[in-house]
Amino acid sequence: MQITKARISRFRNIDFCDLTLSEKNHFMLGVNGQGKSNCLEAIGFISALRSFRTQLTKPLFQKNTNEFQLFYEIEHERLGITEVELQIKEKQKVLLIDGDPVKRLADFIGLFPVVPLHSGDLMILRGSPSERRRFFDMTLASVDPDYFEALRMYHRTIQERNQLLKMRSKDLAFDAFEKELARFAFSLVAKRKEGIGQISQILANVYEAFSEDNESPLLAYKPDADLASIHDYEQFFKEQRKKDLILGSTSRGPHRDDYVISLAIGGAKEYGSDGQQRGLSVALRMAQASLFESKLKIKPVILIDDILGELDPKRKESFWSSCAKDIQIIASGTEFSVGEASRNWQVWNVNAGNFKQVGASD
Amino acid sequence: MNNSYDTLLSHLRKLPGLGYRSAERIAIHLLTDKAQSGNDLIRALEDAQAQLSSCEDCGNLCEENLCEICVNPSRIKNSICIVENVLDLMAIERSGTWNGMFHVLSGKLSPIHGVLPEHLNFKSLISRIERNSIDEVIFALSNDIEGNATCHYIQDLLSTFSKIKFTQVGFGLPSGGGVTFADSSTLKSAFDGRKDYD
Ligand SMILES: [Zn+2]
Repeated sequence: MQITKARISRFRNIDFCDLTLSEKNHFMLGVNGQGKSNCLEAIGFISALRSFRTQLTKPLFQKNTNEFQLFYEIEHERLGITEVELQIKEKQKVLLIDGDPVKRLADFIGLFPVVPLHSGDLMILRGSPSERRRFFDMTLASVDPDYFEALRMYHRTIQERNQLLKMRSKDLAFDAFEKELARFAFSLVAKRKEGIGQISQILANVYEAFSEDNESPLLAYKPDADLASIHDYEQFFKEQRKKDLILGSTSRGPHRDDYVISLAIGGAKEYGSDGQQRGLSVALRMAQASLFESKLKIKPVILIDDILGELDPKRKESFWSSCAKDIQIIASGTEFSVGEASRNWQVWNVNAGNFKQVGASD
Repeated sequence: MNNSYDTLLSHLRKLPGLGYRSAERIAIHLLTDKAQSGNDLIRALEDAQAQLSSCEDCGNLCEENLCEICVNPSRIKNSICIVENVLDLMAIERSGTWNGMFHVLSGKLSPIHGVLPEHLNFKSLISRIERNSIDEVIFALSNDIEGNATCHYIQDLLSTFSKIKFTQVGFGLPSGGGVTFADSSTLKSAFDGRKDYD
């Protein structure tokens, strides 16, 4: 897909901007704090109705407002030329595709894939397991509606069980909900195993383009409970019940899963050099993009939020050569050093939330 | 406007399916245009509340101790269809697809909404099954986590009655909305296509 127009209204420091993005590659240029990242963040909203920079909604609103609007015109593999409109309020998100409201996130997730490369990606390697779960959940949910559904159901059933724990309910009620929980836990773990298997192969291929030496990345799934059947999960939750009653919440299960992302020299979280970690986090995003393209048959839009400057020149060069030419890229930076003669860039000057086209570079 | 109008409006808005605009329209209608119809409505409501209660056996609405379905000799007595509420029962009755008995739970298990086993109509279900010879229990509950958990619960609750066969209506039924919103032909195929429950 390609985003051909984007209109942003009252989003962070952007009062209003109307971008015509008919070129493939765009570069948002400006000193820090002018709104480059905000623009990319707004564009990224289309993939899952959320920010890739924060989980909070409040910071996205301007002072004295509680609403912002986004509009996109998209050339889409499946839908043709499509208009998408988003109205985001504190507790309400309205999404219209060609004027028709979309009621369920399930009908929409994966339809407009956007892959954001940003500094926060390092947290996938360095952060807590929840960062990795969020990344892989988002990735797998985008390409598999059944995964999205199993995840949603699992979390809802966890909420029901937690409430039973708080109310210290009777065993028979626990049995009833744990039977459901076991079903979703089993299918979630199976889907994660399969999905991570696929992503890890793609990651190995992508990473090869980044590194000169013999490092090879390894991505492994570490389920909190790896059990052979639904019935085993049922037993597992039953065994946890006594302890969980004391804790007041469900202590174990797929919501405690983790992933190990490592280089052959050791776990990347502990051992990777800074450059290796940056390279690996970029590779993870490119693997995500490649998975989206192969599974969804839709070319994702790639957002690069001022991070290529942090890659060493060799890695940067190999990054560009590994990037397919027919994929739309919207990048940002404080200086236009992208400098890749192989690409034609539309450069935009960003100043205090305003965006001005400065003529194509080549 | 004045206090008693606001009180009326706030009560109307609590009724299921009424938004602010419809509540307002109904309030004005009852108060001004058709004042007599307001009095009639109050009387009908009072009468219905005085006359109707829950069937002691199945939980359906009725004017005597037992409802028309429970006392009807031509209904098949050894099969009970479990539904969440009287609306679901009425929808199935309208479709004419089921000639057995019913049991109305008055909801489904949902701890996050404060609904625990003690809030549902399980006690009378057990005593019915102890008193009668029941061969089949059919689940016609919502096809969601809470509906399924309620089925599991009932199955465990009745596990000592070894001759009962548990079945579930075939779910081409709209999920979440459940039985009430399904049309007659959907309900008929849901009953015809009922399957053994795990
Ligand atoms: Zn009755």
